[in-house]
Amino acid sequence: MAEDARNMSGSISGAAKPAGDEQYKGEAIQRAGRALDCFSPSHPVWSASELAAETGTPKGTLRGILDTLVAHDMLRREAPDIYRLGFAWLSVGSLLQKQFDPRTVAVPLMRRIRDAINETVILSLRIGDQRVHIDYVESTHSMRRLMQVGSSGPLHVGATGHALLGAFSQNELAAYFDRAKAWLSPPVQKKLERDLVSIRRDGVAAAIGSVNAEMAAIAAAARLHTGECIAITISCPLERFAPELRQSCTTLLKEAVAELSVKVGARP
Amino acid sequence: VRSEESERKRSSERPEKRVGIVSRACAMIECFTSESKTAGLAQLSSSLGLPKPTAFRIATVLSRMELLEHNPTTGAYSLGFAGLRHADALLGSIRVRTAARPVMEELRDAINETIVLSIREGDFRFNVDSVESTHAIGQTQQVGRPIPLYAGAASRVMLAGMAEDEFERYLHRLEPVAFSETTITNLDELRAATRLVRRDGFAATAGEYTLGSHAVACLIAAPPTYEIAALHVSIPRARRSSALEKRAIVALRAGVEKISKALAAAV
Repeated sequence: MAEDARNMSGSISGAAKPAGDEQYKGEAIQRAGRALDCFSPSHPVWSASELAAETGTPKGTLRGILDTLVAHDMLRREAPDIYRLGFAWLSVGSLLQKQFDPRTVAVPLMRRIRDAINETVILSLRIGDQRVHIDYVESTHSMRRLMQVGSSGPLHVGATGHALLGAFSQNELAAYFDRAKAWLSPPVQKKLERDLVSIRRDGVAAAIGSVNAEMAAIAAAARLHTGECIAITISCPLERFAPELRQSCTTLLKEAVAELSVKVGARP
Repeated sequence: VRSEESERKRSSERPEKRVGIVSRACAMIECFTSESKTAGLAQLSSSLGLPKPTAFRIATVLSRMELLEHNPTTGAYSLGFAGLRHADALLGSIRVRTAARPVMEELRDAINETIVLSIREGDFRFNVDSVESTHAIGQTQQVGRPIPLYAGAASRVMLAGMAEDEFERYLHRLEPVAFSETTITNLDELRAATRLVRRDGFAATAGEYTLGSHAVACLIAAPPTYEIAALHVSIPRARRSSALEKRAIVALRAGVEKISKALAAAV
């Protein structure tokens, strides 16, 4: 135990070394982070022994870390040695939610897609029953999809809108179709409902020359922790949209959306 | 004020020990508030009383773990996305919330005032979810802040839900402070107000915790394995009327009954 404490990045309070003399690699902080990462909605309660095993941290070392996290309300001790996440995270989450801009997370992922296939990648949000393009990373081809930030369109038209609808909850979708009776004929609505089943199954929505005869688009969407639905769309001239490119787009989009979800996605 | 429960939890057989560097890392995360969303290294080191190199090392580790984010252009730090994941994991583990959310949306749509879900933890309650009114003026909920059980409508219904001996023990250890002119700090008055809530089945308060905010609240009857939770409607003083308050109470009663049924059915 004492050896654990000496090996740790920090020092046990009460025997603290001057802060400026600390020689550490952040190991104790990383162990604290690994312990916090264990908690999820499906596994919200952990014992100290389980956390020690899961994080590979000696139990004695972990005990001091857990005491510290409890003192800062980042963990709650539900019973001796039984832990839940603490309410400090609500304040942190609320603060982050207010200042959250999806572009900060999505644009680097979009750049990665553009660099891989050199086609225009678009970021869109669902606002009401519209999709609104909020940012893009452009292809360097002279013939490329041109974009205008702020342009909007109905959700029932195009790959982006369909991908966003695919990210709706069942309740939201029911409410949408209820409203959409005003502008969608029953056959169109039926077809859209059928399409959404395959979009949810495949994880992507595609519009190949159906919105614009010269253009192809493929999109994937995610639901963020803020409740917003966000879509990443790859769009290019139809003549370049060969099956190989479509396959690459599908893979890249799914990877990007999965990464986005891990970082800032809502949990199911 | 510290609850019996939290005392029991905290007073384990072993003495508490803290890891200094982890404590400093937590304190660094706590530096970020709604008034101070970003901070440079100098600011962090001065706020925490740490030498700059130490603050830099802690901030670097926290950034690597995505608990902080570093803007290389400005040099400023801000909270990182890992905090969202932890908040989301915490919220996702509050089981009452899943059943309450759709009802809260229905209530907001029905009366267009902010609906708040709070849960009890020891001698405090925490607001854990809210659905906001679409009016231009509405209260921003203080999520994650401990609110004592003697102030506000949601607190009052939680007090009313306590068994009599638990309630008296709570009062015995209570040293109330006033948050506003209407905060009840006299224990006999608090007993009387709680009796009324037990009789009526709801609480109505006027700015006891937050000045200018009226609230009506009902306790959510839930099976014992669930959190102790309350739902309240927050109404700005300027919009408050008896008619609106009555409407809110009727809607709220129906709403909590719906949630209670859903929770009972899920057990």
